[in-house]
Amino acid sequence: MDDRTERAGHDEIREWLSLEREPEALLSRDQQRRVDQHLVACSGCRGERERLIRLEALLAGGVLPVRAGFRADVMRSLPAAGWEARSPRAWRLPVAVLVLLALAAAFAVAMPAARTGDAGPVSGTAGAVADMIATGALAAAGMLWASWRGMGVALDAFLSPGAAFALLILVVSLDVLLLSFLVRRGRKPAPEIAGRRRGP
Amino acid sequence: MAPEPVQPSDEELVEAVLRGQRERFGDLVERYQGRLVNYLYRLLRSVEDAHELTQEVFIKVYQALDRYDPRYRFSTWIFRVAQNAAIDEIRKRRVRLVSFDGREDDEGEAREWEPESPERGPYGALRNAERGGAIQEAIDKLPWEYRELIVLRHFGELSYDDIARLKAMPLGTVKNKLFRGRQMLKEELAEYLQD
Repeated sequence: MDDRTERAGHDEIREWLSLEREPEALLSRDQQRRVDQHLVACSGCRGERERLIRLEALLAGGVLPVRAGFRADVMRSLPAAGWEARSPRAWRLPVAVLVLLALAAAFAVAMPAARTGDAGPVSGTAGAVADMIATGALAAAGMLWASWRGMGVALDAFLSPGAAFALLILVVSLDVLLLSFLVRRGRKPAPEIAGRRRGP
Repeated sequence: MAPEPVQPSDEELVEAVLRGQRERFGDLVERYQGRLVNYLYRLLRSVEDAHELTQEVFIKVYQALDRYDPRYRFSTWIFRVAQNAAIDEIRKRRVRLVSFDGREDDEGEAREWEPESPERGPYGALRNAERGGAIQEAIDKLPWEYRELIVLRHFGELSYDDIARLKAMPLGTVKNKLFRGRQMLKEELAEYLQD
């Protein structure tokens, strides 16, 4: 074997050496066999392999740790993406409201039919259930009204009309304030990167 | 011994996020944050910039998540976004006429970081700093075509196959360029590779 052929053989083996530890099995069995055979006889290539292993270790030791809390920072800074409005979860509330409305409409249709007695067994049962719910709701409304009246009497006893009006304004203002906070929490601001430096 | 729980694939996590499980995006962040920060750090030489740009990459990816095509690998896609972000950042720096290879002033960002090492004491710390600087210097000396591939492989931990897809190169070219890049690194870092 002349020098050029031998040199080409070393170069090929050295190129393969950089592939032999890759997890993707980039060397064929035949190539790996040739590498192993070559290394038995060639101290130069064995040294090359050692240096390659050390280089990989050196580079692996130069890995920068990610700062603590980075994941949480990213999750906090995520803006509302356009596709979110189309995601199934975003549709849950409107769908639930629609189902409730449909149920209410079904009860409203079923109730008169049940009362007139010309309803079938299914709509008759639905009508009876609707009657029961309506009675319960009426009772609850009555209790609420009575307690509201009771509160009104108590307020009348202790507050002048002016003070009661002021209290009403205060309650409404607090409600508006609370509502605005809720709306603001729901609407995420544009992505603000923590500590982002000045522009170009 | 109980079998290890099977981790969901990147594509399954993306699917879950798109179904409304926003918190699963955090799992993707956890999976890629180290690789992206290191990839960007080696290209930009600034710890702060690497973190900030990684955060921006995640935001961009989140906003475009519905456009992700699961026929392609998520890793290739996210690194393509990171690569574009890095190129934009380097262009901006050139516009600002900031030297790419020098430390900057207090308002600048090119602060280097020293890798941890078992070497302790004042000489150990000095050696660590030297070694960290030498690695970065050797990487910076590589021509861009080799540097990018070396950083993608060793710090972005992308497979040869992923790199070939990302760079739209034949696998053989990737193998060859990585081999040549490593040869150059070995020469530059010869002092640290001896017995």
